[in-house]
Amino acid sequence: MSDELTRRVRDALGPGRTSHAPPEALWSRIAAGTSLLPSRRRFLGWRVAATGLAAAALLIAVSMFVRRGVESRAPQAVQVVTIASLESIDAAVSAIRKDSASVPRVADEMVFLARMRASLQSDFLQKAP
Amino acid sequence: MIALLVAAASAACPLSGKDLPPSTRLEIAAQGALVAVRGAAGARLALKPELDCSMVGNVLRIVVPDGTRDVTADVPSAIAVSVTVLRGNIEISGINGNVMADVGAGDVQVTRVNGDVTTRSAVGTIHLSDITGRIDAAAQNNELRVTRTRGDVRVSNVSGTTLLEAVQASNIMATTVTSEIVCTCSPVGPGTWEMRTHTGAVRVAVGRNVEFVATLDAPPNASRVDMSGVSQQTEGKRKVTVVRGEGGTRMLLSSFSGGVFLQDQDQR
Repeated sequence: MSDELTRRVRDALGPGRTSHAPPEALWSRIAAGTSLLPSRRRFLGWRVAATGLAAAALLIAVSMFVRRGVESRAPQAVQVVTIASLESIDAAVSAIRKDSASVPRVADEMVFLARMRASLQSDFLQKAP
Repeated sequence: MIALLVAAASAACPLSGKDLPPSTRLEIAAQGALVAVRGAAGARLALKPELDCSMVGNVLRIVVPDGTRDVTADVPSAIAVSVTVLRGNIEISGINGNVMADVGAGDVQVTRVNGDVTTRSAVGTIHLSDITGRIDAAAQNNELRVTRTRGDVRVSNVSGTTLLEAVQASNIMATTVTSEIVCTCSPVGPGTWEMRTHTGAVRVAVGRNVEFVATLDAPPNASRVDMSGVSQQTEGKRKVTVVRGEGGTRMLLSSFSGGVFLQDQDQR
């Protein structure tokens, strides 16, 4: 604060400035003593606005970081999804394998699943970086 | 400022604003972007934003710089188009030529194409409509929808639903592992429709005047035929042969452990 403002604040507070008066009462005395200080309500409004702006900036920064992270992982996402698909086919084959010798339909289904597996690999995995 | 203008001028495709010969194949490759290609009769090449390009033989190649979010290419309709995007979406419309759209993580939408269409989406949906050529499409865990097409169809999915709506085709091959195949289709001549899933369901609806020989292969009591004017014959525990008329389309509808449903179209 400038010297002039300091003097006027001290004058406004008077000798009781170190008293145990509640902050609201002290602020009222200061505000009544000088017009150079903003009102408490205005001061609080400015703080709320600043906090809101900071929070919004933080939110934007985090969302940009997350989005960039997701995008940079796109190749991995393709591979992860394709590998999960292959694993689901493998699980299906394992589930019916025990009957393949005795039931021709099961053997035929295993051939179908093997074809699906090969298609997935050629369509999605072989070209992935 | 001058440096920016010089940079912008050097980045522009020299073919912008010019006609492209009908034999041209436009190839666009992007890491992450929404790429839209819009064909129109008599249109000249227009790129938004302006991008560099190279023409080698009849191939016009555009590599979208990383960081460019949206790319729109207005082109004459009589060219072939190929778009590859690692992450993002592809939208192609109004092309009288073959189209290829391949996206890693994102959606593909292709509409109004007089030519063959090949599409792949590992992590996203594929929507194809109003196409007169052959279709070859593969998705994995999202919806694959084909609407109003008049060419042979080959579609593959794993856990996403496959929808064939108002499809007219001699030959259809639709496969999934765990999901559903729903087909409202019409034959355009003798051919084979094979629709097969491992644990999902196959649902086919055809017009009442369509002649066919259909083999339904499903677990006992998991097949259902809701049609008029057909004869049925059961073979073993799994197979039911359904015949209407003489000859016609051969249908092989199969679910290893799910259901198979065949019905007239107006009953859907």
